[in-house]
Amino acid sequence: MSFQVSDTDGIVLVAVDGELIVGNREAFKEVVIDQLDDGGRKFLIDFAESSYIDSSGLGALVSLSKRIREEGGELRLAGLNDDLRTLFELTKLNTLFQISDSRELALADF
Amino acid sequence: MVEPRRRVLIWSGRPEVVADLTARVRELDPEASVVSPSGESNGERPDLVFIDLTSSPRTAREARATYGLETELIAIVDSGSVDDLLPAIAAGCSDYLFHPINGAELRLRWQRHVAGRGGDRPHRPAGLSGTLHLEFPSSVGYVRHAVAEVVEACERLAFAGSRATLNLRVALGEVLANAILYGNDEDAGRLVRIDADLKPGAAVVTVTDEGSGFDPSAVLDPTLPENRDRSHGRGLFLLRTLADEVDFSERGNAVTLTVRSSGG
Repeated sequence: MSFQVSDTDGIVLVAVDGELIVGNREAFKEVVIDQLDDGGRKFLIDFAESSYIDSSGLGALVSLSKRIREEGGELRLAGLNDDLRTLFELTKLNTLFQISDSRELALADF
Repeated sequence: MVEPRRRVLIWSGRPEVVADLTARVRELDPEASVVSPSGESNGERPDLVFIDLTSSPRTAREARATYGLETELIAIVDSGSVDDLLPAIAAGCSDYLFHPINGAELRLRWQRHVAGRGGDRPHRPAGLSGTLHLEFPSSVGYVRHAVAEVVEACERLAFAGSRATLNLRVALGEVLANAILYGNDEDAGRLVRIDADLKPGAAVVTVTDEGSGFDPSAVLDPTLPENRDRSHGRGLFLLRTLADEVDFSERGNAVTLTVRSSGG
């Protein structure tokens, strides 16, 4: 369970390895907000190595997205497996986020 | 009748843990034989094995395999080994103690597992046999381990696929988070208990906390456009959407969720 942060042409890429759930959502938010405070505005969260997000994790994504929008930026998602896609569809959060199939597609398009 | 001498093993690589436990066990039972830390028992079956999850030379699974069901296994856990606790309990530890050892807690375990033992002790099944029982302190750090144990057991014993990896996993995670955060107010002194009954047709899992319950009817629909931007309020929605049945106890502190192997 870890978050790898890197910068690709001005896009802050956060790769989630493991789960994004109640036990680590605060650490996740800190990682992203640190980057926002450092001037990052385009954020891509890659879930290719993640298979489990709970309501706390979804809530963290929603509140981060709101905060980033307020600063004039945007948060997008990539690499969701079928289970995670279903989760976003059930909660209608697929209407709130731009979701790409892969990190590469998302980076090319951002 | 003369009681047989109690035999206790301490599996720990930390001399201070061995010394502390040895002294405390001798206080409880001056006659007890305490052996450490080699993991050897001179061929005689021990009554109790303390397994220091930070530094034990052998695992709970090995202890269970070597000594069978009649030996009690107690995990010694501290901040460095919390992540190992649930796997150890799933592997056969019957109980745990936090390090540094609290004398009253140790006495309770001793009375529960050693002093009161007799021929009428209830039978404990070997490993998983369709049911799984876990009990752990109210800290959100336990959620992923507890969920993983139940989902893995479901995949082994009942059913696999997205009904296990999505429906059961997320629904159970939501119930546990609620029990820890709202039921037990994240008070690590209060326990959360999982009783899972896993059959090929369905997983039926009850989560019980020590809180006073809550009103499950007072929840917004998070999928409505005006609520979609809210950071809270999706837990119960996901639970109700992903589980086939959800029952709350009258007091509201126990939730039973049923996920069937196929939708409907």
